[in-house]
Amino acid sequence: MLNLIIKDFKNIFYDIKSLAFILIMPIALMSILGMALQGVFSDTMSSDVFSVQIGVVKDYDYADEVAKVEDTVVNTWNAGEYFSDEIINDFNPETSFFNDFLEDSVGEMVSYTVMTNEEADAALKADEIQAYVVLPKNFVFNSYVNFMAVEDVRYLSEIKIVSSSNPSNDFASGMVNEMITPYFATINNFVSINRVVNQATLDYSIPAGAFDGLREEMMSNTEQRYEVPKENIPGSKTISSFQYYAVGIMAMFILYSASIGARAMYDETKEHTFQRLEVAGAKFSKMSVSNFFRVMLIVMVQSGIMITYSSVMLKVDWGSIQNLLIVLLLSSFAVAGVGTFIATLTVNFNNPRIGSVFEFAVVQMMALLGGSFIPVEVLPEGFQKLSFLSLNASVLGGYLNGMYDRPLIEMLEYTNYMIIFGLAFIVLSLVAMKFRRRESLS
Amino acid sequence: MNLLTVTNLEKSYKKIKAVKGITFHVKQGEVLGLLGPNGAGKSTTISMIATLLKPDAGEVIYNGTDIVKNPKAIQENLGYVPQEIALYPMLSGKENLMFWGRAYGLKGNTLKKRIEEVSEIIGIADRLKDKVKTYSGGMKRRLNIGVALLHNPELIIMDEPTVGIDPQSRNHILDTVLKLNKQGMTVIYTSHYMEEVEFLCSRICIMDQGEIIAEGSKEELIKQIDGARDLKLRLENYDDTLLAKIEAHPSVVSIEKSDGDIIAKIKQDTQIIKDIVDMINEHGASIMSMDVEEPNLEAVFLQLTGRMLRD
Ligand SMILES: Nc1ncnc2c1ncn2[C@@H]1O[C@H](COP(=O)(O)OP(=O)(O)OP(=O)(O)O)[C@@H](O)[C@H]1O
Ligand SMILES: [Mg+2]
Repeated sequence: MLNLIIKDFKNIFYDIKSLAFILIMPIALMSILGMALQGVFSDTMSSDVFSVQIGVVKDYDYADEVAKVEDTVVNTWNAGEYFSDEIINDFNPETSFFNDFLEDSVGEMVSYTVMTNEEADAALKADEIQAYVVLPKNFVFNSYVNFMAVEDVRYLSEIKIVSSSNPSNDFASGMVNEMITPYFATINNFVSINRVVNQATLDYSIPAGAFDGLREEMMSNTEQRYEVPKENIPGSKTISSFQYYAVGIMAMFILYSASIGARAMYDETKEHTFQRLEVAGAKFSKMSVSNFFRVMLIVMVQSGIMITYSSVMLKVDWGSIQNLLIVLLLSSFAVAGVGTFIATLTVNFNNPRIGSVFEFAVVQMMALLGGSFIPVEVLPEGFQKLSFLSLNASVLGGYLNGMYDRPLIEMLEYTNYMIIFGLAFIVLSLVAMKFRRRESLS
Repeated sequence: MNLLTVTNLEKSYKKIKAVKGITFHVKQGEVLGLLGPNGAGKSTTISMIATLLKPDAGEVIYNGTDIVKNPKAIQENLGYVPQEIALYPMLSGKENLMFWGRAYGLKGNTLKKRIEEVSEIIGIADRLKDKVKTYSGGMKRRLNIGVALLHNPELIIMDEPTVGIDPQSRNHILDTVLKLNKQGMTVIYTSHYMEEVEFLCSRICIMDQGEIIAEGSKEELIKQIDGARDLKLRLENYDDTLLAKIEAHPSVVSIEKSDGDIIAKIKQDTQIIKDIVDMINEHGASIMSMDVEEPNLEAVFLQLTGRMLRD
């Protein structure tokens, strides 16, 4: 058993790429958060340690696409009054990506050059850059449509990242992936929020503009603060929206790690080490226990990084250490539980996409319902009723409990939820394991 | 004594019936070859013996125990070398050996000693500290085998252990198999290289399309295909009447000319060579060269299926 766990950990720590994922992703995420909510953000890291050269390829024609936006807004939606140069300037996706993200937010770590596809390929070959990012056709168009539309949502999912195949660049290209991907994931999340907010405004006849402050804060760089409307307990602290989102994003991000174990296990079936272990008499359940600990450790490490980073660099006050450690431990337990279940399904069905479905559907849903994007109290009522389904609500509640300086005892509702959530998925996994047929694994 | 008995074993994947009710046995101390072309069902058969796949029908008895019902009975005594390289590329050779040794329940000094012995046997002792992903194909293959030897198994199953490697590593592996067998290990060796199987195996099962189409020692198998030897002749001063005369001999199956050479397919018959030489002399032709090609398993396979083992 210990043997399996040691092997799993070694596999993580020897693999620079997965290590980059585990360590850089949380930092990148927090810095994006810093960018999205706090504006400028500097002196965060010594630039010599990680300096990555990347290329950016624009596969679109900016002017053309803006023209297409105008055409869509004016002619298709018949909403010409919403189209103005001001909007185009305010929500410029190029400014957001190049200035706010690449320069201000991660500029210490990355320098970029805009190039053509051919130039990028050549530069990659010549080792002048470690990776390049292709912003696809319609990048600009889709971005604007997303900011403006109610139903016509286009996810920015086709961002292509081409990395150097030179193994000495593994770390650098891993890092690029781990910074760019969450940026667009965050943008996509903002799109989801935007849509929910728009939809809610329509469905619940909420006065137009009710969420404008929030939306603006999330989508632009304003320094403006939004007070979380949860304060009715006398004597407790108030926290800034920034603090709130630090926890919210973290509660969501740790869920992404649930599928890491599933992916690793799937890789083992592809590499045939899984089968070899079975021939050696190791049970699937035993491998799953090891996988459970792997996910749990990863989540703990990542949470630790995010907490440390955000408290040092972003001055987030996490409150009592005890409270913090309890939530950290239990949230990792809960995520490891659901991670085990995903891994079981992945192996049972021999399908690596189960992890992705989880990431793109379940995590987003849970994040939304659990208040990772906007506080549950502000969600439409129908959504509020569903928030019990979401692990995020408890993780968030647990951490906030500490931030508000509330007594530990008030956390019971959250800790119980996390324990039950974790246990429930462990039981589900055990049941699912029983149904695995030794059909074919190759 | 039979170490392993396989009876009417069947396995289908979604569309294909990969193994169609095969029966064979493995005797203690022998090297049994499973020879067959790609897709014959060799790996599927082996996977069932190794408890990786559950058979649709049939039974596998190891040392008197049904291993479909009781997989443990074979697992501890089996060394399994999968067709694919099943190692952790990120770990070093030594770490891999440690991990797999422990997976087989070895510990402490015993494990250390076995790792030394095994790395000696497979000849990678000097590269133990390096990550497996830096190994050459041949070294990976050898380590892939080494992992299966750690717990000193009674039976070792090797699924095409020499695919895609250099001749040197290949010879090393073949020698290793013979050495292990001399020390008492029973071996099931799967391959589509007939030379390897001829070289190693005391008994051979030829598989094709999910069935065992012939079984026996090399000599027995060749005997089964009467008339598969090629007699290659180069003659001067002859004409077709001579060829017609030779072809009429009861032990000659066929005769044909191919650029200057005459190739006669002849049956096992101690008299035949003498008879042909007499006919040639009688005709007044002279023999420039003459060569009998010993039949091989390729010829056996060709005869039985009408196809070549490999194309
Ligand atoms: N997991 C699987 N799913 C579906 N079909 C399979 C699977 N594995 C093997 N097959 C099919 O079953 C048949 C037998 O395959 P098997 O791997 O046992 O052959 P083999 O003799 O080992 O061949 P090779 O020399 O290529 O390894 C083939 O037709 C193959 O395509
Ligand atoms: Mg095979």
